Amino acid sequence: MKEEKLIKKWLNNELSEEELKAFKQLDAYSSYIKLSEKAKYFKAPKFDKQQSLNNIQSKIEINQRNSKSTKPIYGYIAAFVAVVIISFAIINFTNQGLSSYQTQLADTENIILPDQSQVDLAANSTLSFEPGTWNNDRSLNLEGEAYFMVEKGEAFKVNTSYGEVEVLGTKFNVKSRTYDFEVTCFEGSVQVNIDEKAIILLANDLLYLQNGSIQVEQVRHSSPHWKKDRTTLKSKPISFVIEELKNYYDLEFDAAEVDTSRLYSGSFPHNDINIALKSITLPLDLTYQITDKKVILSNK
Amino acid sequence: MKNTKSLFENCCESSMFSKLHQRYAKDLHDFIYYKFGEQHNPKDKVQEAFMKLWENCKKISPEKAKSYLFSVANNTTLNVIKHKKVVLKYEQTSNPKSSDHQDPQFILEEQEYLKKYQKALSNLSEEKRVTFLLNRVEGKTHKEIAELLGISRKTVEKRIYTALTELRKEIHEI
Repeated sequence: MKEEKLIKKWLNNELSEEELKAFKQLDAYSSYIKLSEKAKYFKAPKFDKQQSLNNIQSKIEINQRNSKSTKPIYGYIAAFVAVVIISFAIINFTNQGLSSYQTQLADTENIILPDQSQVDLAANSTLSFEPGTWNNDRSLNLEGEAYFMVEKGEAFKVNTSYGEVEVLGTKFNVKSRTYDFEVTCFEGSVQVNIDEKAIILLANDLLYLQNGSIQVEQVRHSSPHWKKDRTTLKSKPISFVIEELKNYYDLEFDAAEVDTSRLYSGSFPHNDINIALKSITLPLDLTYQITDKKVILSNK
Repeated sequence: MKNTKSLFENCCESSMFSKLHQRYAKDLHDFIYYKFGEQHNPKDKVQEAFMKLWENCKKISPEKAKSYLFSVANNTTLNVIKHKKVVLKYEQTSNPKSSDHQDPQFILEEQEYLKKYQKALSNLSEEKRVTFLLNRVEGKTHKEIAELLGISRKTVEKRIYTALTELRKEIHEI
C-alpha cells in the first residue's frame, strides 16, 4: 500500500528527499525507471503547429469561397482589427464622481465593484472608476498591481499606462508598475491591447515585456503569488527587484556597489525582510546590511 | 465599439481561433496519436476537429472549445474504424552519437525490450495508454492531463499507476 503511494508520487514528481530514498529501496525501482525512460522511444511524431494552422486557414478560405454566401471572413477580420486600433482609451482623471482606491506600502485591499465583480488591490497601487456609469461602461484605471475576478457581462476594461486589458468574465492579474508590465490570465480569456497589437490570453497564459518586446508563456500557479504574500520574478534586473521590494518594505536601498542590470530569478516573502533579502542576495552571490532604514547591497 | 461586446463570446474571431489552435492543437494531436496510433492520421483529425469548431464557432465559447475539440476528435476517430490493435512505432535505437562501439549483445537486448514494450503498450486500454504516455513522454502533470481530458486528478493518477504496473508485469514477466 505504501509502495503504491510512493510510486504515484514519483509519477507526479512529488517525492520528498526522504521518500525518494524509500522509493529507491523498492525491489522494482530499476524496472520502473527503465519503463519510464524507454517510454520516450514511443514519442508521438513531431507536430508542426504553424503548418497545421496554415492548412486549416486555407481550407476555411476555400470553403468560404465555394459557399454561396459571399461574406469574406477577412471582412470580419478587418472590422475586428479596426475595432482594436480605435480602442485605446484616454483616461480623464479630472472626471467628477470618480471613485478612487489607494493602497499603501505592504497594504492590500479588496474592492467590490457595482456589478459584484471583485478586485484585490496589491500594495502601493491605485485603482479608480466611475460608479455612476459603471453599468454602461465597465472600465477602470490601474497604476500598480491587482487581481480581478470579473462577473459575466459587457466588456470589462482595465486601462494602464502600457495599454488596456479587456475581458468578459474571468480571473486575471494585471501588474502595471512604472518599471514592469505583466498580465496573467487564470480563468477564461483576456485580450491585451498594447502597441497597436491585440493579444489574446487563455487560462494560465502570462504576458510580459522583455526589452520592449511582448512575450507570452504558460505558468502553472493558479492565483497570483502576491496573494500569498510573495513576489516571484523571472529574469528581472536587480533594479526591478529593488523597486518590487519597495512596494512591501519601507526601506531605502543603496546598490551603488553592485551591477543592478544583473538578472534575478526567484521569489521572496512580503513579511520578513531578512528572508526576503537572503532569497535575493544568496543566488546572486551578494551580501546585505540593514542600517536604520537603509539596506546596503554589496558584492561578497 | 459595440463590437467589443461579442469579442470573446464565441470562437469566430480569427485571432481567438488561431490562439485556440496554438494552445490545443499539439495536445490534441498527441492525444489522438497515443490513443489510436497512426492508422487514423492524427494530423488530419486535428484539422477536421478545428474545421468543425470553425463551422460551429458561433455556438461555442472559448471556455468550451477545448472539450469540444477533444470530443469531436474522439468521435470522428471512433467512426472511422472500430478497433484494430494500436501499435505505436518506436524510434530506432541506432543513434550514431552513442553507438560507436556498442556491444551487439546490448543492442539486441535493447531491441528485444522495445519490442516487448510495444506489445505491452498495445495491450493497454486506450485510456491508460494515453494518460501514461502524456505523463511519461510529454511530461504533463496529473493536473494538466485531468484538465485536458476532463476527468479527475484521482482518475489520472490511478490510470497512470495501473498502466505502469501492467506494463511492468508484462515486460518484466512477473
